[in-house]
Amino acid sequence: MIRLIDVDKTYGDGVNFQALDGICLDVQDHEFVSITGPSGSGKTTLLNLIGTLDKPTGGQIFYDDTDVTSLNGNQLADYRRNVVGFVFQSYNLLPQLTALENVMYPLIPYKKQDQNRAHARELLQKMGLEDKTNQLPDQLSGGEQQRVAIARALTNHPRVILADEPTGNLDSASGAKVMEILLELHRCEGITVVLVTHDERLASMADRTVHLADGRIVSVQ
Amino acid sequence: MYRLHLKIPVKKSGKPQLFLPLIIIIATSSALIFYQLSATSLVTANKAILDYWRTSYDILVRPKGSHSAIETQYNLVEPNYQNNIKGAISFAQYEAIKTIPGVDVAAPIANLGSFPFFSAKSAMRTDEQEKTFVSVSPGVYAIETEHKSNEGFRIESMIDRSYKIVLPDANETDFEMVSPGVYVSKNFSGFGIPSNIPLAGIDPQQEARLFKLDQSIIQGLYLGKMTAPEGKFPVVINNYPYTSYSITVKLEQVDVPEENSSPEAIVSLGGTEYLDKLPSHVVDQIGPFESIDAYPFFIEQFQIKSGGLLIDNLNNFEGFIPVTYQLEPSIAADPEKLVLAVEAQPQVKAIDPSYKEITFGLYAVGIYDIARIPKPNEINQVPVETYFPPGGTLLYDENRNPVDPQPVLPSAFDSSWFTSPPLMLTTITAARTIAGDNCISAIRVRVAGIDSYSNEAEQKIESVATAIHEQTGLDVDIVVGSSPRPVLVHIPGVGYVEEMWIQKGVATNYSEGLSLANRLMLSVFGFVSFLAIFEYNWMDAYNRRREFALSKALGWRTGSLLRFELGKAAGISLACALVSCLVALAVALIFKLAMPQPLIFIEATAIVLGISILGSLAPALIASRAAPVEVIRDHADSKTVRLLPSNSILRIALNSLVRSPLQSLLNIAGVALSMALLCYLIIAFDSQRGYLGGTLLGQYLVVKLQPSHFFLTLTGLLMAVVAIAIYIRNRVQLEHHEIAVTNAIGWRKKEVRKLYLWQSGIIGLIGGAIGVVLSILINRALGGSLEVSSTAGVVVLATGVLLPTLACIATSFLAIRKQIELKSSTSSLIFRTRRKS
Repeated sequence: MIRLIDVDKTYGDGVNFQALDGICLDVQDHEFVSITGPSGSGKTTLLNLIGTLDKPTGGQIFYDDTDVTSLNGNQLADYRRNVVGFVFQSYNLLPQLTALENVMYPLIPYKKQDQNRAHARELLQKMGLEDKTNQLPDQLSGGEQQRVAIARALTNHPRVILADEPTGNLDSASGAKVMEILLELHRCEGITVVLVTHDERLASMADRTVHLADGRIVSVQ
Repeated sequence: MYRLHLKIPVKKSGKPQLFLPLIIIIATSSALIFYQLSATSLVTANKAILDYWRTSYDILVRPKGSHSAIETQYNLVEPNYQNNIKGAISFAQYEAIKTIPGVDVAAPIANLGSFPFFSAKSAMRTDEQEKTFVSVSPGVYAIETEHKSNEGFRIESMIDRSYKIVLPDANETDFEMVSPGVYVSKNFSGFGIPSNIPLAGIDPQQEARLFKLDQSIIQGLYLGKMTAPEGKFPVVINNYPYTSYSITVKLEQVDVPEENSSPEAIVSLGGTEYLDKLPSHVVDQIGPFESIDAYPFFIEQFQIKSGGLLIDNLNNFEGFIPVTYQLEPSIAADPEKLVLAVEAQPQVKAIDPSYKEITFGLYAVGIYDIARIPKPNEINQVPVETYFPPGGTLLYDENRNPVDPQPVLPSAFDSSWFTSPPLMLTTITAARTIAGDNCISAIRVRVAGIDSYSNEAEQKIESVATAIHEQTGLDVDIVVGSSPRPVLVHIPGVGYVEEMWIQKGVATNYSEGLSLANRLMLSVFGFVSFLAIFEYNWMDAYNRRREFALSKALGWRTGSLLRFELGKAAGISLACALVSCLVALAVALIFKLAMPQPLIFIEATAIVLGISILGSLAPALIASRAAPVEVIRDHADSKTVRLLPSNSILRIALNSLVRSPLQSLLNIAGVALSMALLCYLIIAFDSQRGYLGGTLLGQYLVVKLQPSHFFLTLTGLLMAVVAIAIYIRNRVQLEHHEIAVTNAIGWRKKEVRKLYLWQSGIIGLIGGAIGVVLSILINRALGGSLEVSSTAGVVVLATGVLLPTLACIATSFLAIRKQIELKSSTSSLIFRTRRKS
């Protein structure tokens, strides 16, 4: 379970900007939570903090019983590698690597490469990209790139997927396909999904929707 | 209209960014200090070249066909030669040489061979050895003489056994040989120390001018100052025996049955074969007698007052054993000592058809002392074997196993490898009478009108040498400017002996090579300095891309931006050049180095300006030409060139380097060139072979010059490594987005860092490896050899590969250690950036 207790995040040096203000939120295991809100409401900042890409300026974030805000750099890296999988709006695939290598990438320093490769192939097959393994990102469509990104997020068997506007750059068909995959991962494999979106239609597919405005939770549905 | 602002770039934090000025100042100061150091050394070096250029003689003339293939191939002259040359130069050729314009001295040497000589019994009467065999009772005696010759690395032993039948009524003085090895006499009249006396002919006047032989006469007169009696040739005797040997004589009485004791009975029973089987008992023993003690008695017997000596058994030509050499490639690469290894192949001693027993008389007119003959300095010595024997050092046995180094000296026996210099010198006219018209073995020529080393002097000597060769057809070696170098000679039956052969043309080559080496080092240094400045400017241009974009958005023209950037580079470099000049001056004053000429400062400033502008040009050009929208865009590397599948950190690093081929190659070249020079210096330092194949002159000069070369080379390596560190830092900055993604998906910092340190290490490794290969090639090109398994080889390999690799990794680590952090700004970037992958 992910638990945020009175989490604040302030940016700026001198003139401060309060991105998050007193956020308290629990995300249960196997839950699908969507976070919505207008631009600048703090959705991405919240996701950054849950993913430990950034540190809160106040409050605590627990994963199960571990206060992740107190972890050091290596522990945070291990947390991200072992617990969390990220799916970004802009895919963030490494352009020099093939689809297969991008999927292998998170575990390259940590896993035997033949096992890593076999697992990556499986994931790409699962994403319907078995014929695209040796393609570079530039040679793939946006939807295909996002599916590669999801495969990469799954390569370390994460318990939580943090998805930031995963369909934001995609056409409706590709977006639907990506959402279908996320829902299936949630339903079939019990992966906790935290989805940031401004699309109310997508948000409604979640078990629970958290609405943010001006850095505060205004409603939970 | 833009205004040129010359100011040191300032970081956002307000802290002055001194890195670029620091690089320029270090580079310029180092180059100037090197120049001063090498200028100081050059003064010494040039003086050494001047001091050691002129050798005892300028040109060595030998019989046609004397040049061995090895000598020709390696521009060498064999030292163990002149005493072993059978005469083959005619008097007509000698006279022709003397008349060639420019020939000042032409000193011939005619080796006539050696004759056996037995010093008389009186020679044995010393204070320590009173005993002789003079008083013995009649009977049959065995005289066993043990000869021991000290060859330096070994004592060669030989035993003679003969029999004497002492009869009261036998001839008083003579030994009568009744059968081989069996003699009859009334008593023992004693015995002599047998020795071979080498005899050579010289031109007394020419020899006096070349070696001051006339001034070395310590007793009697010089050749030509006294006329020998009719039928005898005048000789001067050497006061120093070059060979060291001893004899021990044992007298045994043989128990011969009374009935068989007559000479007739002994001969009829088989002579020595019969006597060898009979029992005997020692009745007396004398010795050992050392040759050094016996030699004065030899001289005494030859005294002027003795009226001379009749020689009837001159072993003319028999002592000459022609030797050919063949390269030994497997040994040539021996790491310890060698530059060149050859196998000596003594030819079977052929019976010379012209050999004849000659009868002639010698008449000693004087004694010369070789200590009074000017000995060539070892740095530039040429063969003067008439007075100074060639020497060698045994280093390996026949099985190529190293042995404790031991000298190899001329031996008293015929089997000697090194031949003893003549112990008697007669006139060339006498030599002609004894050995015929073609008796001259070699001619040492000195050219007139040469005061010191200069191009004109060299040309003059060359023209004389050419004239000698053209007019006589003889083999000619210009030995002026030469210096000895070690050559390992495999002597069958002895082992591997290091001899100092004469490398020709060292002084000239060194003078030219030194200047080339300095230019080469400064060029490499300039190149790596350019790299460091280029990499820094590239990084700076990237960091300031938004500034450029803004300037262009505000209406600056591309040309204006370019001029601004180049003007700034010029201003910084001028200021740095000024500081560097002051630093160099201070160093010169503190360490008492040669004060540089003002022109050098101007040249240095111009070079710094040129390198700075060149290093700034490409980055400034690219940055200033980019459209505002381009420069604002993220500049991550989006090239997809790849060498290998990216399934490991190493491979990802390698592919990353391949994507920037120009910068990677430039960086590798910087390391390779720096390391090539450094490794070559190590090879030269280790082997003391210097730049010219291990000659003593080269070695002498290398020791003088190496500190400055090491200094510049190490500073050059530092520059190359700093350039790589800047390049790696630049890549980290360019790829901050990828690094953020890599961090986000769970790579630890050390793994991310490893990705970049690998790149740095690979550049260092490849550059170092190329540098090692280059250094070995340079060394080989200059006549050296290096075995990779030798100590020097291991040091060069380890230094060449490990030093740049570790240095690159270490400096890059320092450069990027704080760049790998996942910061709020970068983490936000991965979510917020809408860039196309």
